[in-house]
Amino acid sequence: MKPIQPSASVYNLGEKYGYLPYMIDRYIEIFGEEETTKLLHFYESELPKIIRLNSLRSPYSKTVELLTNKGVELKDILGIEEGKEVVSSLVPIGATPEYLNGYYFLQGKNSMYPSLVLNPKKQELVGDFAAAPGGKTTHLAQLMENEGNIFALELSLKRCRSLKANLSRMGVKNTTVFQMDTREVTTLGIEFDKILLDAPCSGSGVISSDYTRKSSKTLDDIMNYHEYQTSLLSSSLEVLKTNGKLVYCTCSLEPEENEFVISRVLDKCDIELVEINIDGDRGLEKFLQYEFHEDIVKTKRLYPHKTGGEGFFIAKMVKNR
Amino acid sequence: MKRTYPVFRKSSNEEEKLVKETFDYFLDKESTNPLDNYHLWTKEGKIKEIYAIPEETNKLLQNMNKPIYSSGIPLGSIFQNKFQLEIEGAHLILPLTNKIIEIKTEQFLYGKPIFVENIENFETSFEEGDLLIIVGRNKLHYGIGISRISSKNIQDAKRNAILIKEFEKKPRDRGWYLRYGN
Ligand SMILES: C[S@@+](CC[C@H](N)C(=O)[O-])C[C@H]1O[C@@H](n2cnc3c(N)ncnc32)[C@H](O)[C@@H]1O
Repeated sequence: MKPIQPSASVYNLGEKYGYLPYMIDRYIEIFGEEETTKLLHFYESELPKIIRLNSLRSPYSKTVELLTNKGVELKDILGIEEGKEVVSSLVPIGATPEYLNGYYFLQGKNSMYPSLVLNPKKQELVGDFAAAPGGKTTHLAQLMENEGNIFALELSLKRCRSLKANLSRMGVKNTTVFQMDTREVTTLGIEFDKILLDAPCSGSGVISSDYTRKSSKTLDDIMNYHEYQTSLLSSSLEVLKTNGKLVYCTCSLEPEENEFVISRVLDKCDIELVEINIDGDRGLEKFLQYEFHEDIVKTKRLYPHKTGGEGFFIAKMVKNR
Repeated sequence: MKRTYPVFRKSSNEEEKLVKETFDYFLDKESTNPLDNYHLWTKEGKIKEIYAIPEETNKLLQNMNKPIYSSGIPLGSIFQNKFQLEIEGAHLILPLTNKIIEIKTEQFLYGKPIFVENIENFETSFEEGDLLIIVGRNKLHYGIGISRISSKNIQDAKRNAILIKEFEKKPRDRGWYLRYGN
């Protein structure tokens, strides 16, 4: 492995923007100095404002027309029919009567991919195992045309309230919210066709919307997330049907929360990773002295500075037995 | 200590009756009741929450002794033996009723009352104390409210008289999603 040549300029940039030095070390390890510099600069800019149109409430064309008439300029997002970028707006986009009627949801571009990658079908029983505030649950319901069933699990009572509010506003009727710990999901006594696990994470992919993350998490914190995420994923896999599909994602760039979690379940469960057909970088083959399972490259890393959106890691797997 | 959760169960006949009475109030005799496609479930509590649940979900939830927070469409709540319709219940009724008042301000969505001068149109006469569904321009659903003035007195009422009072803490106008939902 070629040794890292620390460069003063990228560390200076990290210091200027308020990052803990260990973060700069690992970004250089993951994608080199040049990309790290681009990432740090990108995080200082505001993310584009994106909305997801909601077919459960109004046809896309009608919503576009209503918003255009109000002075909202929208731009298509390549490959995501329901996603639109708000180029400019004369009205507060998060408080219009159309928003309150659930005609659209404020949701980053990259966070639409996990539900699309899971590709739920109308008649299926789908689990969303870390659900609040419901950006992805409401998207899943839309993809299922409000049929079949979604069981949305959320640990926090307070966050269940915002989940319920978003489900209601978006006109979702096929979803049941359980206030429970996903690590106890086997007690439900049912198996799922598909599961989305948008795991709680350290959030290093969304620093543009939370600058405190530059210095709020230590390596120990990241290891704690790793343990927690691994146990959530293991419990989720237990209730997945044979041949069922599961999408695991985080809005974090840390390998411990992503490739390392997937590696551990690959070792102990009879699952296979599935290729994901979206733009983005492949999962890491190695990190520091660790080499990952050869299939890990089937996972996807969406880097903020390359995709112009939130940082995301997405893995899709199928259960053999 | 083991936590206890509110019971989530099928609604009783009495509860169903209360909900149906409110729906019947809004619907013509001829129109099909939207509740026919759903099962009613109740989440117990000092204020009972009533949900309309589709058949497919209804089947799954039978015998599920788990902490269900919500399911299907929240129709409203029962307190002291009275059913109070909430926004999503009203939304089910909206296409089937003419007890609608159209207003020309968005202020109601932001916790303000509806004044007489805000009225754009109403489809049918109403009495003081009647429950009305409120829509804005483009027929967008804004909420529900109880009229304080009869429609026959509107012409003579002061322009700044309050027609419908705001509800701060109940999900009866869509602005509630902004004030309490996030
Ligand atoms: C990344 S957020 C999910 C965002 C959500 N999927 C969306 O798209 O809007 C993770 C959520 O998992 C919840 N959570 C954390 N630990 C959990 C557990 N053990 N069981 C269920 N939910 C949990 C958190 O409260 C948080 O709401």
